[in-house]
Amino acid sequence: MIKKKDYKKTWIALLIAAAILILVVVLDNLPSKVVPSMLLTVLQKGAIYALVAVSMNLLNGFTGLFSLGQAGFMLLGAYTYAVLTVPVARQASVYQRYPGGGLGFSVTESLGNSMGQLGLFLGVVLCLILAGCVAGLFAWFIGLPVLKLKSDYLAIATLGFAEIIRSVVQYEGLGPVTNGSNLLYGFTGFSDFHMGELKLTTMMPFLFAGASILIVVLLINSTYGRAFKAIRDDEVAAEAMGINLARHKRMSFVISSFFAGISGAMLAMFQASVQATAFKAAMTYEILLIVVIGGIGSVTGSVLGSFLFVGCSEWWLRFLDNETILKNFSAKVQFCALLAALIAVVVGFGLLRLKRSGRKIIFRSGKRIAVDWGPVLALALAALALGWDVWFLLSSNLKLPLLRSGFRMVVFSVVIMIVVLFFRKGIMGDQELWDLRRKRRSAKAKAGAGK
Amino acid sequence: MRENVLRVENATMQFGGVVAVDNLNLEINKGEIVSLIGPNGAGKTTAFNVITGVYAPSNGRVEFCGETIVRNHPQGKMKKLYKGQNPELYTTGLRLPDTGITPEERTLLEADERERDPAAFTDKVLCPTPDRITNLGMARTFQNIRLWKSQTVFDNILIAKHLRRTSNLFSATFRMNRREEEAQRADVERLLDIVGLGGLRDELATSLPYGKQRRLEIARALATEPKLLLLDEPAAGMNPQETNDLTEFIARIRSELGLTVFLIEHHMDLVMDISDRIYVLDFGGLIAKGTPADIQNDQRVIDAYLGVAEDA
Amino acid sequence: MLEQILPYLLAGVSVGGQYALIAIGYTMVYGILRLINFAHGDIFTVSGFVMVYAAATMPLTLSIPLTIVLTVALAVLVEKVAYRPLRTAPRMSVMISAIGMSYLLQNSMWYLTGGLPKQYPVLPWISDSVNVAGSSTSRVTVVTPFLVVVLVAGLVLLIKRTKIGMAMRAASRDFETAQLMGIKINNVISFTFVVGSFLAAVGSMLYFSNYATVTPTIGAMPGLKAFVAAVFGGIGSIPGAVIGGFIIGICESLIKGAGLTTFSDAFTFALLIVILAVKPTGLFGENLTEKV
Repeated sequence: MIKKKDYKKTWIALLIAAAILILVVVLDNLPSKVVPSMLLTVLQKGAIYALVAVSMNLLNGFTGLFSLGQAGFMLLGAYTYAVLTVPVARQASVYQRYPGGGLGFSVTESLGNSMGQLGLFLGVVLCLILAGCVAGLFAWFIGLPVLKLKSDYLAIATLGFAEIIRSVVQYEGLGPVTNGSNLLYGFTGFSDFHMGELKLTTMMPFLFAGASILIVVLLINSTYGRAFKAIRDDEVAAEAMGINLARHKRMSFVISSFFAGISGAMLAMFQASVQATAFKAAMTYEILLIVVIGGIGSVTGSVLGSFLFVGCSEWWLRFLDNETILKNFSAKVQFCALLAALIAVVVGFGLLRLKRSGRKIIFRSGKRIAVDWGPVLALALAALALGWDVWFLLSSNLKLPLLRSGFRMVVFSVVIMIVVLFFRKGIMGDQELWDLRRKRRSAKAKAGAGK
Repeated sequence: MRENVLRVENATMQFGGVVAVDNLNLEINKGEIVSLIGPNGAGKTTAFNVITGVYAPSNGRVEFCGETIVRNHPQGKMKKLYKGQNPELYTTGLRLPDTGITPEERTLLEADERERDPAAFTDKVLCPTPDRITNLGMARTFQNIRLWKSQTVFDNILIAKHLRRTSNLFSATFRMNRREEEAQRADVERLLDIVGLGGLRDELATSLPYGKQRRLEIARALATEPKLLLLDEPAAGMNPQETNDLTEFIARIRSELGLTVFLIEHHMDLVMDISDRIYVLDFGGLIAKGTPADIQNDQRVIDAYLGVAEDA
Repeated sequence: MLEQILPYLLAGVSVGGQYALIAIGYTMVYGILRLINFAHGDIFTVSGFVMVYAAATMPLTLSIPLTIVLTVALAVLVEKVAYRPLRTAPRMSVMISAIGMSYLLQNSMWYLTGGLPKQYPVLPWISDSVNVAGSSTSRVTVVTPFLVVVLVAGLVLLIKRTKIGMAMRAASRDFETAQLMGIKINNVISFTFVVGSFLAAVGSMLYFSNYATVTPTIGAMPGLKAFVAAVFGGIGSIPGAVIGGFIIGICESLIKGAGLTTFSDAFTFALLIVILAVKPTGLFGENLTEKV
């Protein structure tokens, strides 16, 4: 009975996965007039970030280890992949500052030449796994001293190791392999994949990231994943129940870094070039914010969060970076109406929250009458914004204010702060998409039993 | 002679200037229910922590089923600490004291010591982490309940089955351990029935009432398949009815599962009802031991609990 | 030999003093809130930018106090907006909020300044070059360690002798009990941020006098290093933070002098990991054990 149900679930999951892959391939091959190229970029980068966010979530959300070393492990993966796959013919030009640099062979090139697309695919898979292994190996060593530390000390130590990795990779002495602080480029990327005329550029990151995430999900729901969650919930109890803390923490750390390495390699494939300076602490912070937006302890949350994050930062908020002059008066009316509506909605939600919490703006505190300044200030700001909106509508100016280079990231970080402060659980909390259905069903069952 | 399950010898634990456990000696035989009682702050929980490996004691030895599992090894700061009696026995590199025994007796004693613990008189450190000790078959509950908060009742018990797994990371991830997983789940169902939480299997552990959380903690400890169960104030915060139920429950799991139980408790009804033997601790030291009847009539115990007038 | 090392040693002492000033802000906030205030390094940068703009429009006698006041105001605002609402939240949430705040400050600075490096104004007297034992250096190098010592002495007096200092000590010992004893914890925390950011503002003046340009992300690295200094000295300990700052500054400068500039950042973190592995509480930190 249980087994049959399990098989059914597996089939449904496989069908959904296949449908997504087919959809992506179709999107990739439609003419660029129909499908904006930005969509494809967002899909590719989103899939890559989804994997690294899930890997970080495995550590931070499921094992309760607050690590900030993700960028370092991505860097290791990216460099491993790049070094292994730069074509022999291009090695001289890539490593021009280090004559004789490069490995002298390229895994994907040799396999691709002998077996065509299949060889290329196998070569990439092999190199991705190697990239993950290198990251995992380093994680194993780093974990020896670091995993004994608690919460913020662990965070700062892993952050430190990521920085060490970054500067070691840039070391001149390693130049013949890593090309020092210079760009590595020319290696096999996603755009090298095609099936005849059919482009598979976007499908590949989906395939690799999807397979990796699937493994993580299987792991989380296995007995080991349950042990990780026990460590997160209460370390002392977990140890008293026979879970070897050191071993399981290391396991989680190495696995997380393995997948971070793979996603780093995929990021290199996506960008078609790789340079150590890009893998700064800021990158780890971005991934952490994705995890928070999606919900700490939710794999689907991390996936949704990363597509949202990449979509916003690369695409939907782009218009905020461009100086915009409205075409005519009616466009201006539209803009002002939209802004007014936005302010009204925000204020409305705020008031609703206030009402629900039972707080009052003006209340009695002892004998005197006190005022809760927070909401008053917010209302004043909203009134000010609304006043400005009207003033802007009446003025003859057609140029939209504030919009110029950099504004997108400001708005974006404000949104993130709002999520962090007011919607601390993120999109999914610690639930998964498939949990939601089950929960509704069990709620229904309970209501039925109550009757 | 009955089979010995737990034996604690000269266990001493010092924190800074406080000697929390002072030369504790106790023995528990198979199938017994033994209680450790004493006023607040007497060092009962610390004794538990020494036995289960949470703390490395500053002196002494713990034997479990005839095997030495903890032997102190004063390192660093510990060397300077108060060590209680017979530190030479447990300190590495040193031999038994020279005074008062003939060389023959000494050789015999040393041989005896080596038999009990092959690592005796060597530099080997013996202070395993709690998980190792649990693996040997000793499980515990906590004074302040420590359930896994985000997990359901069922999962709380299932996770405790993790240490008896035979699957490795790979086989578990790729679901090649289906048979074991099913056996584990069946076991958990059985345990749920034993502790009477069957109807609550999908509730969050923390949403249960206090008494049931305590039961769940016991069930979780049972899931590790222990020979010896250590209960730290299992009846704390329970009303008389719940305490009665718990008394019956402990007696039942002892007879049904063939367990040995060692418990710390303040509810004297429960202790006197259920215990075969009782140890009384005060200011870290043992002040009395014996059957419930002995303890009830022991003047030192009464003094320790009720206090003695200064001028008396 | 000494003549070769001396300039690096001097530079090290100077940058170490600047790290020390920033590190105090970290260590005080961590002492009370158990929070790595990731935004501290960015507040340090904002202070640099404020000075750039203020000095362009008004005389230094006005712009220096204005910079300090604005820096302090910003730090207090950050605490009110990003940390106060999360006082009862898990520590991880507060830390994430700090990271988000750092992200916001960096992006805002990028937007407002256009992302181009700005020339830091030349402060008279302090930027003059002087001769120390045969090597020429700017006066800020010499002044920094003395200024640090004076400020720290003042701070220690403040903490040991005043009522608010006592409240701070009580709060760092036990947050909740201090609250129950009638200490207005929010005021204490605000005051901690005032002191921390005041020192960061002074530190930024000294630091940017040496480095001359300000960019939106320039504060991240010194910020992290100052935090490492705080951990090195034992978090929560002010003398520890100062000593840690000097040690890291000097080591870093000597490593640069030895031609291993790539590794100067790595060294700082390696030092951190070594100290955490050997003595997790730092040089002057106290041990805390969890009760089971």
